[in-house]
Amino acid sequence: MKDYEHMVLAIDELISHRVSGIICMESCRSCYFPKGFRKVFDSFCEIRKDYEDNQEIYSDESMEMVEQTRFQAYCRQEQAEILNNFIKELEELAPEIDFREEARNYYCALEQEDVQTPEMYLSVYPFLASLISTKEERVSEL
Amino acid sequence: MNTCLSGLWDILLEKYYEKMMSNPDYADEDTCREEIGVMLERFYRDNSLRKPLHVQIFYDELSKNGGDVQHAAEQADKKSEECGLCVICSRCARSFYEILSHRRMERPLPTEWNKYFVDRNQMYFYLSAYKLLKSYRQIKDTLICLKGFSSTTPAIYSAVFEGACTGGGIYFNLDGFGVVIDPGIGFVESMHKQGIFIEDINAVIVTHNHLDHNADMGTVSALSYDINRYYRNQERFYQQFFPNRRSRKHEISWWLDESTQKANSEIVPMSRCLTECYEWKELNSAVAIKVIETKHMSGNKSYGIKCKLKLADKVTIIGYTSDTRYFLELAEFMRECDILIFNISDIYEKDVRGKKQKNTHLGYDGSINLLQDDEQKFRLAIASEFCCNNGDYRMNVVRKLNEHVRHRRKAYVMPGEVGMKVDLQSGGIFCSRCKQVVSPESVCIVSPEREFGTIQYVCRSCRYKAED
Repeated sequence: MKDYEHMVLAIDELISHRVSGIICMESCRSCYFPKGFRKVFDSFCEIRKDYEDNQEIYSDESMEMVEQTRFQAYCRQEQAEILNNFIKELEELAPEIDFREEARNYYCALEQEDVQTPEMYLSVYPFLASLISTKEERVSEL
Repeated sequence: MNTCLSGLWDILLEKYYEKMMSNPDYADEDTCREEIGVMLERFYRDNSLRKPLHVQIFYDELSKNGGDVQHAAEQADKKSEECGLCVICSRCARSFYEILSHRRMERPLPTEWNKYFVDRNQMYFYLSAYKLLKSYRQIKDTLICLKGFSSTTPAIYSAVFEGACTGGGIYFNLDGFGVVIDPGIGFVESMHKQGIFIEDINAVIVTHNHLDHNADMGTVSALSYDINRYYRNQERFYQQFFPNRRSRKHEISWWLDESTQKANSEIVPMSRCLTECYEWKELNSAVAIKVIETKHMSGNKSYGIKCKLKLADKVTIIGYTSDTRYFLELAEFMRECDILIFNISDIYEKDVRGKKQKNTHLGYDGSINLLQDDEQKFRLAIASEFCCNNGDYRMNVVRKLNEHVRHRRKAYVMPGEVGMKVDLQSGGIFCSRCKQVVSPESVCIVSPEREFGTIQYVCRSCRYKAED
């Protein structure tokens, strides 16, 4: 795996999720997280360093597919952590909404799609965040 | 579905199936257990990845003496729902173990194809380029000439010598509303080179049914169809979760002559005929068109067009003669135009001497008659569609035409070239080098470096810099 392939995979599978999570949470809480993007940058540097340290393993052509899949699995594991934390924070804001059930419904609908784009996976964050504003609108209507 | 382990399942399954195809007894052999074991060991070589219990069971069962893949999968399957890696479980492990234990049939995804399904499609990149270029390019309130030569010159010359010598059409954009006139050969390529994308086209006008005026309308229609299909596929999913999301659809209104309309009814089923536009017809609140039937070739109707553009503080009228010979009504029709685009085509000796006018195009004499009309009010005339069969005469013809015009009024005749830009607000020309708008009188037309090369429109400061 070339270094740019490694970074593209990291951006698609991990960094973009971190950024979406931070932006949506900032919008939900109507506040600015000063260290939010610092964490994204740190995570980016960490991944970059990991590649440099293990360059020999990553450039082993006979095992390229396994290494790529392994790195992808790592990113997705982190991705799950990001979504999990995101849901926990949302639950603090609106405990009466079952965010996990909503996320499950979202993924079920995604599963039905013939083409699943990275944007569709990322849109789970604004969707879950929008449930809070929808709830607030309903309350104000009542 | 993308899960934490879906990639691992894909590579294991592919390896397993590949061997099974050539050797049906492979599942019972030691090599099978060894290969899966090696793969799992490499995958979980350190603590950066959490190893779920079912994977550990699967590995342990495989490592036992006499343990087979089917049995190991059955054992691991019992714990597959206690994985806990993904936030929402898609039961990917269960599917994997069911396939291995022959309870479910599913073809593995060839790993070489993985990038194909992960990669974004071409329309995504097309729209990304569009979004990126949007802030850098200048097309708003601009007339862009995408045509220099007629189809004959490219056909003979560029096929053999020079690929850049292409025909095309005329494009103008008024406050985001883009109109294309005569998308001929090479139009789509030229428009993209100038940073114009399909989203920038809202109306297409075709004056007559000749390839150098309508060859690329099929491509424009196909691009419009593709972009709408892309939007539709995206929207179907998003509408379920974001009901207030605005659905996107790109629509183009087509205004065609009768012959083109008839010949292309399958490519552009919903079009309108230019015969509706003998009086001013609004394309939108700021753009209106009016046509006149011209005299091009017998049996093939052609139309000249005037486009009235309502700018912030004034109205500008662009006239386009299309292919026609000179006749008095044409000059009368074009009298109120501020910018006049006329198609010269080829010139003949008798035509230049004024002995005999050309029958199908303006030629030299027809152009002079049109431009010398005392009641014309244009300040800028663009000579287009040169058909240079005997050599590149563009600069010489334009020089002579300017001599004829300038002793009558303050107006400028310029040769049309692919990429020539006119600012509709000021009537100025964009300098080909510094991209600043300069008035036509300050523009220096730089001859191409070689025959059939690109003409440049250069402001004074760029010219002096070049001379220094």
